[in-house]
Amino acid sequence: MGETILQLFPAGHRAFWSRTAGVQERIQEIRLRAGRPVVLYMDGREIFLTEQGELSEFGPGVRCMSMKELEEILEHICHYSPYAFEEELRRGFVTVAGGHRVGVAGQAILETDGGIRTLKNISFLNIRVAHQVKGAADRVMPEMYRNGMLRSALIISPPGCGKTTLLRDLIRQISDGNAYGRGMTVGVVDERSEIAGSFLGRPQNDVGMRTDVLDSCPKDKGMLLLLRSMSPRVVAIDELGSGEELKALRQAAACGCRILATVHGESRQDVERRFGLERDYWERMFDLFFVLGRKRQICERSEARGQDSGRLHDL
Amino acid sequence: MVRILGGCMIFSGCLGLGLWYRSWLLGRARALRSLGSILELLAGEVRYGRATLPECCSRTARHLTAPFGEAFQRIGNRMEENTGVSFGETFREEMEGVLKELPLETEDRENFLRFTSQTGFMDGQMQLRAMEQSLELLRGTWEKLEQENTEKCKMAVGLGALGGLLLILVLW
Repeated sequence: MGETILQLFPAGHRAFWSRTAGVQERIQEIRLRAGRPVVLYMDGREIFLTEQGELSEFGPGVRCMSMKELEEILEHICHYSPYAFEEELRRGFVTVAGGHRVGVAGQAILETDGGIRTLKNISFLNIRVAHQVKGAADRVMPEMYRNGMLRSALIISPPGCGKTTLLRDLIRQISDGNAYGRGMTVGVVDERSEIAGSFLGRPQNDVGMRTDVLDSCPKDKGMLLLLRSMSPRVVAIDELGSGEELKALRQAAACGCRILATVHGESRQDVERRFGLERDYWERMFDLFFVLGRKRQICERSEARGQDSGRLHDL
Repeated sequence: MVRILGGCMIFSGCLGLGLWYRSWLLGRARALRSLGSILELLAGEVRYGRATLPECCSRTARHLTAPFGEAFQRIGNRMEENTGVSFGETFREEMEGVLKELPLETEDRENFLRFTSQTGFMDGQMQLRAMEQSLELLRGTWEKLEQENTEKCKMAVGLGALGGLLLILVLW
């Protein structure tokens, strides 16, 4: 990943951010607020920056961002063309080179129907530094195959427990091929650019050599489009959320595709309750269910038509 | 014999000067039209492709001939390298060299480069408007030039020839 966060800043800012870029691997988030101190979330702690760009605990002499500096950074992030990122800004974040995500907040401009048209006076930026964990799926790979055949899997997890990280690495390993099976064509519908971290349509994360990514497209429409256009053998989506998406997923399964999906939830029962669908419905679509816990562990693993729970894996 | 030869040289020199001025006038109008077409291509990329400005340059480069094609490709490549230099600065740096080689006035060059200092719009229509303003200024100049050029060109060639004849008469 190198010092890719340095590329988020215009030339005049780079000297200030060079120290921070040196410890990029340890940074989770960089919070920039107009007129407020720069805050880094690093190793689970809050760190501030001095006027010289040195990391420091809070104290006198911490650096505050001016509105002008924020505007310059945002303009640079948007390649001096924020109009081209209108849809992303409306959704509240822009994915940039390196797969990092820049969340934005400011003053919303509304449509007549109450929808958000765009944001102006953007005064808050949240740079979420991308960390691809290669090998996150190593422990589950043997279970993903039976007699050399890939099995469909649903990853259930509360937010922030690593389900996208696990899914991304599953996609990479399945696409490239691994010790348990040959490489397969994977179609990814990446509605929020979280899996591939695409920037201008090009994946910034390694999602494998046989992976086709449909970026920023609604999942239900995207899955049908991919089925028609790219004939994937595996379809992957992140954060299954609506009945329409489930319907499209079922259609993909009916076409013979293997399915990899994630969903928010604490347990299988929780997901079944939320969607109002019986256990059988899920088991017709998925062969494996992984439930992730708060400590980035697989705290439950179960198979369709059988229960095998309580096996723990660290991610 | 030498006098006649000298007279011919003076005449052809003065006529050449008139023809050079004529070609400069026509060249300026042609160059302005070329710059106008470039702006139209860029605006098309913004309008229909929602492309970023650096992307517009890379895509437009394919449709342009030398020296514009190479310059636009260099702009696209430099922006892709992400050295932190703004689009406006990069565009100016690369294009100024190319524009200097063309028969243009300083005002024409500034009119063309004007849109590069107007970036950062949230609305694509605003970015298009900035490009169209540059285009309108260039169009205004070349339309005026084309109206005047017929007369000016005739006058330049005529004056060159007559000036040559006058000089020959004076020196004879």
